[in-house]
Amino acid sequence: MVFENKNSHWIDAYTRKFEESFKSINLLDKKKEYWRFASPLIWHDKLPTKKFQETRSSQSLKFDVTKYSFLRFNDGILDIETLKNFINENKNIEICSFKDIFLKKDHWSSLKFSMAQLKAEKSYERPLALFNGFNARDGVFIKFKKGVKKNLHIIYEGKYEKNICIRNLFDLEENSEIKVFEHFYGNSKYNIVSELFAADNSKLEHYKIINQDISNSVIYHFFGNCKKNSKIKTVNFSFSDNPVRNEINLYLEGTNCDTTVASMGFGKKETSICDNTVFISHQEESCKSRQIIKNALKNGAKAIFQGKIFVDSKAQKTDGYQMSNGLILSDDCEFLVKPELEIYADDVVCSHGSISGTLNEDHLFYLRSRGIPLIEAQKKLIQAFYSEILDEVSEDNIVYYIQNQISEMITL
Amino acid sequence: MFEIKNLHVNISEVEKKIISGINLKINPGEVHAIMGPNGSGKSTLSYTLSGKEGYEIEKGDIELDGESILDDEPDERAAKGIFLAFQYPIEIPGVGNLSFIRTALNSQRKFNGKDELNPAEFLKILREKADFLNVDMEMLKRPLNVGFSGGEKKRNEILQMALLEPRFCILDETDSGLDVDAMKQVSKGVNFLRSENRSFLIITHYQRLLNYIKPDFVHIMAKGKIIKTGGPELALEVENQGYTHLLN
Repeated sequence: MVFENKNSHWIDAYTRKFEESFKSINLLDKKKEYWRFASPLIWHDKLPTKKFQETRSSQSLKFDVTKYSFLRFNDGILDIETLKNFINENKNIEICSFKDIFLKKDHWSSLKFSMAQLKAEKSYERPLALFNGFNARDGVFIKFKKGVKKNLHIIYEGKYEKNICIRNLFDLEENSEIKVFEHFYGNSKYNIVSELFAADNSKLEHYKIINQDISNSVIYHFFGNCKKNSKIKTVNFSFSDNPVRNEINLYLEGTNCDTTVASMGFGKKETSICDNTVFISHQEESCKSRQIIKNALKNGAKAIFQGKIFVDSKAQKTDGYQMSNGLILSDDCEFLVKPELEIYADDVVCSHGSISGTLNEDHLFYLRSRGIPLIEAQKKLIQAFYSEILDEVSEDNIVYYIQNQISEMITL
Repeated sequence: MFEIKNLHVNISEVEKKIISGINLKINPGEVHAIMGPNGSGKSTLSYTLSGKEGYEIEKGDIELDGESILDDEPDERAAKGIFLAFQYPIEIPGVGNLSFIRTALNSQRKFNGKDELNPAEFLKILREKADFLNVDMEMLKRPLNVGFSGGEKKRNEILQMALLEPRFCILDETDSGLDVDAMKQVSKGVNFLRSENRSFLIITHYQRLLNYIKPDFVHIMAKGKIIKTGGPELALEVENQGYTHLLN
């Protein structure tokens, strides 16, 4: 924690530190390891703010309102009505908008704020997370108390085409079980930092859907610190025609953590970049991590996967797995992959692999030999390609929604 | 009626001629068997008839009811009633067996101007056929052919045949990889599907399958041609004496 004088807010010191660190980084430096395939400027260019018409219609994801609490961001600002409803519905959950943190001299989040980001920065430089640190204007800080079970649905909708930085913090106390669904659409350009603190025996399922009709880039930083026996799964779906980067860092600092990072992208234009840059740091014994990345690409779309499993010398009995697959549907596409293992313990099982190719002709023929027309057969095989990701989803309505999105994308 | 007229086929990938002038007429209700040594072009013939890419027709024609199907895509041929039971049914992870069969059936119905079946209607028909063919419904919920035993894969092929009700069925070495009991079960299914409107072309190495599925005609194929045609007794002759005397 950084201390300041009595008159300033505790968060100001962080803000200044973020800004100083950001200014010391040269974003144009092409030698930066984790930006070698795509410049940070892709996600950092400023947009002139202008109002658009209503956001294009987006097939909405339906949730049972009796089982889910709901929060909405309109143009980067947390909708106060949804916040009030959330507070009324959930007595065992502490929630505060990031904006309101500045009104509180003392807040539980002061002990956690930026701690996951700082750990993520140990692995490598994260300039756009730093930028977020002094530009975020809103966000949501939530403490899920011991044993709480909760499903949360967050919508980010932007009617204006403008740069938006949002900062979230999810604090899961012992034995809490949480599902968070985040859904992006509209015209804004997003830079998000979500910090996660998962206490012993807590469980998080995190799903993030970036719709096809989002008309600007998204960079989403997901930084997690995971304690003993925690179980964390983050599943990311991108259908955007614009650049999307998931920067994920999970720091496993308790024994027996179990983490899964799954990500699927469907790029169908040359403006589409689906970038997953993932770092899993095994710091303690007997933790398990899985990374599953699937990208289908056509019409000049590009995908990037930079994934590392780091195993500290203390982290014996680590079980790490990493697999990335590219389905190349036209010759002008690129899937750029950099899988890495860095292991300092001697009793571990770690594997990684990457396979890219086109649709299997024998599979296509088998389906067509039964009367299934070419386009339907292709749809089935593309959906099959993603099945390993969909198997990670525990909610049927999300599976159907994603299957429909895939189906629509194939016919475009 | 299904007719193959002076068919010559090259495999484009290796630029090699595999079939060198086959003529065959198969009337509705007839069962024809093709036997022949390895490399004689039997599987090439089955893939060519069902429209697989890479099999280049140098000359000749394939007709269904007097109309050429050469320009038809594999799915169009299937919807017109041609069914290939694969020697090695393909495993496709991620494609559910039930969803695959329903899509196939509804695609064919749509092609033929019939209403598509809703899930309940489909399941009713499926259950009837699956019960008869001794196909476990649990097996159908798994991904297409993934982890199926040899017998399960072949029963799945016959189940698809029973549901799709084709007019012309090609069985490409359906007996390969089957034990005697599995072969009896598969044959029972095929015999059940025999009718005066449906014809079969059975490709096999061994006479034993023909003990269970009695053919009307047996053809011996070698070096891309049919070199001899006869009745079921020709299969017995091959079983007893091999192919050598026929090739010389």
